[in-house]
Amino acid sequence: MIEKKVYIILPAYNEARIIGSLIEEVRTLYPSFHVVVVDDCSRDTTADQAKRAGADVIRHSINLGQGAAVKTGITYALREGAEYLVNIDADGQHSAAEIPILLAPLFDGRADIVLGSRFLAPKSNVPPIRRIVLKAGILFTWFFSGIHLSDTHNGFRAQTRNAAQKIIINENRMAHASEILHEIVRHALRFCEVPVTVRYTQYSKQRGQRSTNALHIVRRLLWRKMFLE
Amino acid sequence: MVIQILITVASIFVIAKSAIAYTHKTIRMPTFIAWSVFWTAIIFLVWQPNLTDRLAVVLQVGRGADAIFYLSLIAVFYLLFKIFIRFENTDSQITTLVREMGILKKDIEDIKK
Repeated sequence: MIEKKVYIILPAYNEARIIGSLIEEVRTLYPSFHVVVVDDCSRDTTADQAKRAGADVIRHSINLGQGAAVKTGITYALREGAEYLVNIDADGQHSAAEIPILLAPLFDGRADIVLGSRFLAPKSNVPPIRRIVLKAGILFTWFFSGIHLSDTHNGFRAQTRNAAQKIIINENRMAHASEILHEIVRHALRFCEVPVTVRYTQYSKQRGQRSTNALHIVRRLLWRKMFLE
Repeated sequence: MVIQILITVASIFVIAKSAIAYTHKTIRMPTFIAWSVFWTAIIFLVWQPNLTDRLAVVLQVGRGADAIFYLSLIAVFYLLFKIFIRFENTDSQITTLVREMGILKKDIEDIKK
């Protein structure tokens, strides 16, 4: 089988505690995959830990946000000739063992982008408030972008080179996840959802976004829609 | 009378600052003209408040002061909008710069290895 050039992109901010083991897990499971960590100006040793674990590390000199870090990783991976790009959160919420589930529809040519869905997976222990916010997000995305999904704002996704070149991310912070969905519709990209587990550990709950961020995301998207597009 | 003098002095100061900014090419001609016209109009209105009553008739609002208030509100919102857009552009430029610097640093590290 011809080896495919797959890049795993991890946007990271103050993840020194966990980033090393996550990279090692990815590299053990998929030795031929490239791992790119975009350190978004962490105040801890995230970059050093990532380098030590064998990742390519790009460091932002100021903190820009997850969306900007994702875009930096994609820009770098595309320049390096990536054929398939996988985004995974660096806080340990996602399971590296599930990466093949995301890549399979791309390898088969069934989709241009594959989105992970925690609500399709039986094992996800989504906290009740987060569940309500995410369900509201699904309705908002349906109304805003015309795309009906079972989950939004899941950072676990995979895309082809072609899709990554088309999708333009302008939102530096969390609203980029909604922007990606908007771009999928705009470019009529073929997409599918696959079940992925999201582990809500004490650590990931501390590190993850707060439910109140949803209001900020809505404000950013409306602002962009009205004045910047 | 005191407030009229204060506003006049402040307006002349702003026009003078705009003129200096224009000669130093930090603002463009249309901005300089618009700013000068605006502050000259303020001076006129301060000394001829009856003029605002005519404006009120045209805009179909009660008093001249109300007309000025509504117009000022529109102007402030417009300026706020312009500042937001400028801020967004600057933010986007900084992001691009930080991204390119990050990738460039990585390239330099790779060369040094």
